[in-house]
Formats: sequence, structure tokens, C-alpha cells
Amino acid sequence: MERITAGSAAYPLPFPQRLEYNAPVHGTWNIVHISMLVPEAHSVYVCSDNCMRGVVMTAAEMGCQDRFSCVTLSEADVMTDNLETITIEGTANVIEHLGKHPPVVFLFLVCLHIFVSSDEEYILKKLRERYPDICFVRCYMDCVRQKTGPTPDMKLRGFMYEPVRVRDKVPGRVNVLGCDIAYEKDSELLSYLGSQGCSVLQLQDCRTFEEYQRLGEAQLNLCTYMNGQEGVGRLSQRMGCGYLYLPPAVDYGEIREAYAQLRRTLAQMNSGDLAGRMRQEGTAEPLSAPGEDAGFEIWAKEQEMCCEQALDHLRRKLGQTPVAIDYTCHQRPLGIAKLFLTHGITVSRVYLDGVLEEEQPALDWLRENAPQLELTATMRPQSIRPDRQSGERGAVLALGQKAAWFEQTGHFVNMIESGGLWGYEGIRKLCGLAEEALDTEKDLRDIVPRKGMGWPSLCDVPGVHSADGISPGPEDPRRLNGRSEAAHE
Amino acid sequence: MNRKSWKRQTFWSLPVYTGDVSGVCSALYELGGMVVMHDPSGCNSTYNTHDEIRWMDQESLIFLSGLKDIDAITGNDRKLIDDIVETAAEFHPKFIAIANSPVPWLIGTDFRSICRTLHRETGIPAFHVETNAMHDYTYGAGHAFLELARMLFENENAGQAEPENRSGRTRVNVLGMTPLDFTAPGQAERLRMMLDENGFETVSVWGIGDSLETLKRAPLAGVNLVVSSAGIAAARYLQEKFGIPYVAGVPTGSFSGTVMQALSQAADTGRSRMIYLEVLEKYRGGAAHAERAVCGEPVTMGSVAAGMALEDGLPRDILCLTETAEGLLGGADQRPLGEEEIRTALSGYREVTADPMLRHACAEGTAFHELAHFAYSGRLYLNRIPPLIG
Repeated sequence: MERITAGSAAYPLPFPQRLEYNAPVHGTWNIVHISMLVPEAHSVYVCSDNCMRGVVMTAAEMGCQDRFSCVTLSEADVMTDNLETITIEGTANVIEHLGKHPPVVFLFLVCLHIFVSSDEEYILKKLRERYPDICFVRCYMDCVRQKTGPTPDMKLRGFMYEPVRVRDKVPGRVNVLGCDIAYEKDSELLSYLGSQGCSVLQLQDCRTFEEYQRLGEAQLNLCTYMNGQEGVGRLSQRMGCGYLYLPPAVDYGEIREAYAQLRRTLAQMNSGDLAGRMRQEGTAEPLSAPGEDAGFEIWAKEQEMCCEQALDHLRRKLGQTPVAIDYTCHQRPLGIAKLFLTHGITVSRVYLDGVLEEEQPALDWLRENAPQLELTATMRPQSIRPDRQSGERGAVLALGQKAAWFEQTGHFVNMIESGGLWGYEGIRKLCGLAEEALDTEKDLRDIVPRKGMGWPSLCDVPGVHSADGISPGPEDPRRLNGRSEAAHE
Repeated sequence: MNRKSWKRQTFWSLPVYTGDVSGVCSALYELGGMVVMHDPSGCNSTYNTHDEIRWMDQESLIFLSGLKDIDAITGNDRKLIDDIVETAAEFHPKFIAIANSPVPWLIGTDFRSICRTLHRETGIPAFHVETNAMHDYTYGAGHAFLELARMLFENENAGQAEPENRSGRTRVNVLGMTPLDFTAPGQAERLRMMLDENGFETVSVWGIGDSLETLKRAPLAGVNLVVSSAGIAAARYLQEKFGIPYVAGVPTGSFSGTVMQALSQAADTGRSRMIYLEVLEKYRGGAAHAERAVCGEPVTMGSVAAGMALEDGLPRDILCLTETAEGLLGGADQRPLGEEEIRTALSGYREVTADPMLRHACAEGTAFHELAHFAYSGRLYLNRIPPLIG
């Protein structure tokens, strides 16, 4: 495997971009999963067969085949025009067969549309003329541009809010958006917002298209996931409401700073015209930190003490067992490495292929204070031969599916996109999940190949057979893929 | 554009088959070569998630180039070459194969030249498999087997260095056997055993279980058994190059004995046979269409249909849903394109045997027999895919 040390890691790309390997670990969401969060929306992909296969089977495995359609491209289409005709007529043909018109159609255009310079405006104009009752939203599966610009999923996290109509603001309404994993009602973030008199709406709460429209009533949009920043920021500008990006920090100072920003913003929101003030101070930019509040200080110190206890408990429980962390588990893998190392917990390696801007301070710290910490690529060809084949690895606790796969351990925290953990509670719960993973071995082979953690997984996995050799039935817990049935109804 | 052509490219509820790039990878998976998909992203993930069952347990050097827009726009083939050369130097593959997605096709990438350069710089044979992600797996795997055969045998002549066949048994190659069509465990072994029991000697199995060195022995065979449409192009090449006849058909169920007999006859006469079509034609008796259809890839499903016909004496049509079909269908068989045509075709039958994903596309009241196919429904019914051989 391709390894370097933190001390020698370049920012933001520690590893060269060459040929790529793909590990059979698929718990993270792709654009199919993300777009399905918009209730009643229908996705139409216009692309070539081989590219289609991954997305259509994603939809089928998650049980959403009835919300997904394909228009395949042929060589002749490229010769005919710039793919406008096949895109318009193919999409129209799909709609004619759907029975009921969906309120929204996400129309996914691909690399070919870009390279033949399809007239995207013309395509949308024609479709909107033909189906005025449908909101057509242009989306992209344009992987060829993802290394030099925003990735398709980053773009989608903006496009998916385009059908939201701006409504009169509801006092105290806050949208928490951008992350695929919803925050629990009693989570620290939502509880805090509730305690400040806010009513919170998440996209995952919306079960109908009408409920989704309530997103247009917010006074403040709060984004916690890095890939959602641009999209949620754009929505906020269109809505003329406040916007904050508060990622799931694992550093006390940063958490305090997040709360400071949140408190200041909520105070302004309660005193009216939040958007106007934010515009004055810089469009949709986070506001400056407020002064310290004695009550908050006491609470924060208590929380930090609880985190210290949780970290100490984890340290004692782990003993000499090292921890491996991957970037799919949490958007702050280097931050967690720093947190653990500063609390006496052994970190053996961090799996990542790039370093986020918000992780640069953690990388700088590691370069200085833990220069021997191993950073390991997950996509380099050398990853095809992990140490499982040389028997080098001993017992290890993994945070994330990729770390678990490369370490070949069933002792792993099965989590993606920070798992809805945030603030002090995020640190405490992470410690708890790590302890739980240490105690209970999971079925690595059955879990990590399943796509889109949290969605149903209506498939079998190679090499994994149910006792009776029959595919899982609808009631089989494997179909729920780490999510409660009630949560998905 | 033909006003109707877009209807043949639309699927509002049905999936598409495994694509051509995945087909290439599946065909070459076990041969010790390095397969590079010249593609920005996604092909490798799609392949190892939905189109490959060996990824977890069996190493294969299958990588993605990670093509960027700027490299495509500027025609920076050097990056692809350098990246492959670097990786080949580390892994020492037995050959290098490149397949590609739409953008490299669209910009007219000179893969022949790239492969010549790779061969020169690495000393490793390199070839391109013509794909563009717009075809299905039968096309991709078929072209991969064909290009592989060309790489192995282009400088060989018929009868060259042919060792004596001391066993006296007819030697057979099995062509076109990938897990995309033969997914249940142990299919290649079962076929070898069956051939052995029927007095044949298996020289090589193309797709599952045999190494590149074993495949090099293919010209020693007296007959080729084509078990899927992915093997037909290589079979025709070997026939043209070495005069080896082929029999197309899968020894499945009651049809097994007929296939074995046809192999012997083909080896004796040198005449190739589409044995499943012969059986189906016999039972059709000249009727325009049967009341029963078996759907999917033509050679495997045609063989299943032949086996059923031999058992119950009832005629059946092949409803071919995959791309490689030339010479593989009878006069009454159909090849519908797009969901609308597939539904219309299915509605013409009283009884349908097909992948479970096609169940809801059949007309109400149709007797439906489930036969899951990995290249169609992927992992959805993986543990319900029955063995075809035997």
C-alpha cells in the first residue's frame, strides 16, 4: 500500500494522482442516494450504458427503481446533433410512461453532454414548454470535471434545493441541511437550537413535496457537511436568509467558536432582519464571534469534562490496541487523529486520498507533533495488496468502513459522513461507538459492500449466504442497511 | 434522427445490462494482465460493485485512469502512458489491456499508438479493446476475448508445432465463460467434469479458472464450445485462423447430451453448429412465434429453451435482450430494444422465463418462471442464481 508519514505529507494532495484502485467498500452515498432525499422527485439519467449501470443498480438496490429512469446514448446520437434530441425526446418518453407526473425531475447530464457542448438551456426550455407542471432541474454526472472543479455530488447538493420556493419567513425556523445523515431530534445540535426557541427542519424530515417546500420558510440555513457548503450557501442567497457552515469539529476551541457563531447569529435572528445584517457584514458569510457568556462557559466546561472522561475511558479500554481512521467515517479524520493522540490513544494510520482545507490545521499539528503517523492512500494501485495478505496486521480498531476493509477487522465503527455527530456530544458518542466496536465484532464482508448506508439494501453480497441460501426477504434486517425501518417509512 | 430511435433507448423502470467496459474486465480478470479503464471515475466502482463477484477474494490488476477534463482537452495521452508504465513496473503484468469510456472515444484517442508505445516502453504486450461504454457486456467481453486471441496467436499458423494427441480424446476449448453469465459457484469445474465424462479433453476455459499460459494452448483443440455470445467472436477468429469448428450451446439440463453429441460431430466434420437453434427450430415446426419465450443472452437462454423443449416438447422463442446477436438467433426470435419494445414483445407470450426484474414488465396473467441473471439484476438476486451447467 502507498504510505507516507504525516511529517512528509503534502497539502492538499499527499499522494500523486495516477491510476486508481477501487476498494469494495461502498457504504457512502452517491448522487442517486442524495437526489432521492427530495420527496416525490424522479431522476432521469441520460448517459451511456456502462455509466448507467452503476446508477440504475444503485436505485434498484435501494428499492427506488420506481423513481429512477434511464435514457441511453448511442454513437448515432453524437452524430445526429449535440445530444439535444435524444435528451429531450428520451426524457419525454420516460415521463409519458410514468403515469403521474412527478413535481420534480432531476435531469442528469453527463461528460458527453459537456464535450459535445449540448445546448442545456434549449433542452430545459423544450422540456419545460412541454411539461409546464414539472420542475426540471439540471444535474450532472460529469465525472470528467470532478478533479478540476466541484464533484457531481457537491453540485447536486445545490441543485436539489432549486425547486424550493421562497416563502414568508417563519420566525425561529432553522434548516439544517447539506448532510446525508440526519441529526437525531435529541442530538446536541438540535437540542441547542430548540433551547434557543428555534424550530428545526431537515430535508430528511420532509415526506412530501409540499413539506419540502417548507424549507423556503427558514430564517437561517445551517450546513454541517463540507460538500453541502456551496449548495446550501446558494440556496441561502436565493432565500435571502442567514447561512452558517458549522462542521462537526473535534477540537474544543473550534466547537466553542461554532457555538459562538451560532449564538450570535441566533441573537440577530431573534432581533430581526438577519439576512440584512449578514448582507451588510458580507453576503452569507459567517458572522464574527460574540463575547463570552458566563452561562455558556460553565456549560461548555462541563461538556469538555465529559469529553475528557469519555476519551480517558476509551484510552483505558483500548490499552495497546491502535486505531485506524478513514475519511469516509468522519470529515475530520486528521482532527480525530490529533484528538486521540493528545489523549494517549494510539493511532496507527489514517486512510485518506486528500486533505480538506478545514483539516489543514490538524495536518500542520500532526506534521509538527506526530510526524511519524502513517497516512495511507485508498485509491492507489498499491492498495490492491493490503497487508491482510502478508499477515502483518495485529488487532486494530477501525473508524470507518474503508479502514476496516484495509485492516481486515470486524471491530469497526460503521459510520459515514460523521454519522450525525456534532459538538461535544459528537466526541463523546464517537468514543462510545469506538468502545462498542471494540466489544462487538461486525460482519465486515456483509456490511461494507452494501451501498448507501442508511438506505435499504435489497441485494445479496458475493460470498455471503443466508442460512437457507435464499435472498433476504423484505423483513430481513440486512435490507435495512444500518437504518431502522421506522426511520425510513 | 429516426423519430422512434429514442424509444429504443428509454427505460423508465427496467435496468440496463452490464456495460462493455465491465465486460472487458470480467473476461480478462483471471489472466494476470493489467486492465486499465480510461475513464474519469465510476467505471471501476460500478464494476466491482454490480458486475464482479470475484473482487473481494481474488486479486486482479484492474485500474482506472482517472481521466481529467484538461487532459482530454489537451490530448495529454502521455499522462495515461506514464501512469500505466509506472504501475506496470511495479506489478509486472503479463499483458496490458485498455478499455475506455465515452470521452476518449469522442476525442478520437489513438489507442493503437498508445499500446505500441506501452509495449515499447515496458516490453509487455499491450492491446486496446474497442469500447466506448455505449455497448453491453457481450460486446465488451466478446471484443476482449477476440483481442486476446489476436495477441496470443497473430504470429502462429495453423498446425504449427501441434503436439501429438496421445489421449485420443477430442480436445475442446470453452469460450465465453464469464461470471456475468455463469455466476453460480463451480460452473467451470462442472463443465470440465462433464466434458471429461463424455470423452473430451478440456484444453482451456476462456473466462473462468484458466491462466494465460493455458489459453495459449487453445490452437491444440479440435473443437470449440461457445457457451455465451461473448465467446462467438473469438470462436470465429479461431476457426478462420486454425480451422477449429465451434458448437454454440450450453450443456444444461436435458440439452446436455445433445451438446456433447454436437461437439463430437463438429470435431469430426469440421462444421460449426448452432446446436440450440437447431433444437428450437425443430420444435417450432415453422410457426411464426411460439407461445413461450426465454429471455436474456441468446446462447445461454437459447440453451435453456432447448433443454425445456426437449423435456416437454413445447416450442419456445428466444427474446434476446443483449447486443451480440448476429447469427445467434432463429427466424422467430426477437431482439427488442428499449423498454417499450421489451414490454410489447413480452406481452406476446403466455409463458416467460426471465430474470425477476422483468416480471413486472410482463402482461397480467403471464406464467412467469424466474431465472436470475447476474449481468441484468446484479446482486439483487445473487443467491438465487441457479447453476446452468449440468
